[in-house]
Amino acid sequence: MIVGIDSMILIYAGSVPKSIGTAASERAQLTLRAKLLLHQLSDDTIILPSIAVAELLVPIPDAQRGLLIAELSSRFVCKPFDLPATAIAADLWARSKKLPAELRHDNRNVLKSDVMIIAVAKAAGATVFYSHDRRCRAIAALVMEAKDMPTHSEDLFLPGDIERGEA
Amino acid sequence: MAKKTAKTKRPEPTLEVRFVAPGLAPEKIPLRAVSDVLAAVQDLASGRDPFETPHVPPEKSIGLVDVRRGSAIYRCVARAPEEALSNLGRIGSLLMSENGYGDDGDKLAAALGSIHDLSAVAKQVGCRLEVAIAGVRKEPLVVIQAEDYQRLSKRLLLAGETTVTGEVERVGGVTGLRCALRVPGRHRILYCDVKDRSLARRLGEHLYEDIVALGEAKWIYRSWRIYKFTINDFNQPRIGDSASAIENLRRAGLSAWDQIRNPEGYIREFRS
Repeated sequence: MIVGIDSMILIYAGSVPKSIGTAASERAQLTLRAKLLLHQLSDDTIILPSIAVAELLVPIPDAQRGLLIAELSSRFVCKPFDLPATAIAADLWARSKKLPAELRHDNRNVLKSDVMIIAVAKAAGATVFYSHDRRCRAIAALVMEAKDMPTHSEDLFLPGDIERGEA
Repeated sequence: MAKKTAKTKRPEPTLEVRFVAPGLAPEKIPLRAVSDVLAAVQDLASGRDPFETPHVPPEKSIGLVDVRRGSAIYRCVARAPEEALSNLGRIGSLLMSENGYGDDGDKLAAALGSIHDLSAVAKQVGCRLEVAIAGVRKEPLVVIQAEDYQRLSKRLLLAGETTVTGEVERVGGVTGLRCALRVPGRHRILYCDVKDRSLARRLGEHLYEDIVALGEAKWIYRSWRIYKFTINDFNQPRIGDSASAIENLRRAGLSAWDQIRNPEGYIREFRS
């Protein structure tokens, strides 16, 4: 299966934030869900659009960016915004204006990035797009199946194994 | 009275190719079967070694005789005549269209392979090809000129770099290096050109495996179906064991996100 993901999935899965209190527990929950998702997709082809790669690189020290790009490229299809994606993006932009008000982005630049990321995934043949952002999912749902990160696993022991770093 | 032009003397037939079976009706033999048989007989008669010579040289080629002279007219019978005439008529009108092809562009794009072959023959023989309703001399349904394929491909095909994900089914080829990729969501196998022999050899080591091919594509405008793809390189990205993947990504720099208290807000700020 070919699936697309946004940058936040990897940020949730790959960072250990220094937050405290409720925020920390919410964030820990998101980290666990992102790790569950990557575990589920371990045999699939995952499209990580190059626009999402750029987002991931922003806080990374300059000297390390090349290393992270290489590591990402060995695990994900870091697909650029190619010609078919441009046509899909134009179509998504027009169709996203007809979404219900509560699912529309307030910020045009955020909408533009989401549209471009989803268009790249669609052009690459993705049939499912994963994002924790419901507005992003609403746009993705216009052209493919859109899902949030899983909240549980059929393998009851898996979440515990992930939390202990054993899976 | 106008002087009669000298007629070229009709050559005497050299050989006959026969389909032999009791009660065989010639009009029931598909054209493709006839052309395949004639091409194979021409290969045998010319002694062509397909591994050495891609085409029969013109001086050894075999042609048909007893076909009406002046222009070569081959009469055909279609088993679904209405559909055949309607399809040919539509392609003919599209070929003559000056103002774009609208929604019919996809139909024309689907016919591009045949138009390529017909244009190539028109160029090779130095003629134009016409398909007309039998017995109607004027206003042919389709007219193909030598440059028609070039003209159409410029208007219908867009080229650019891209990646294609698929399973390697076959690699090799006699006349050119090719790789057959089974691409998810695509009904037919995608036959790709391969940049060079060493890349073909590497692809051959990954038969029946999924790859991400990097290369140059020609897409059919509007439907965005890939018409032609040349593989320049490939890789096989896989998450694999997710725990070690995440660990490696953290080591490669992703851990810098640990310092960001509100990553959603940070991304939003980057975007705006």
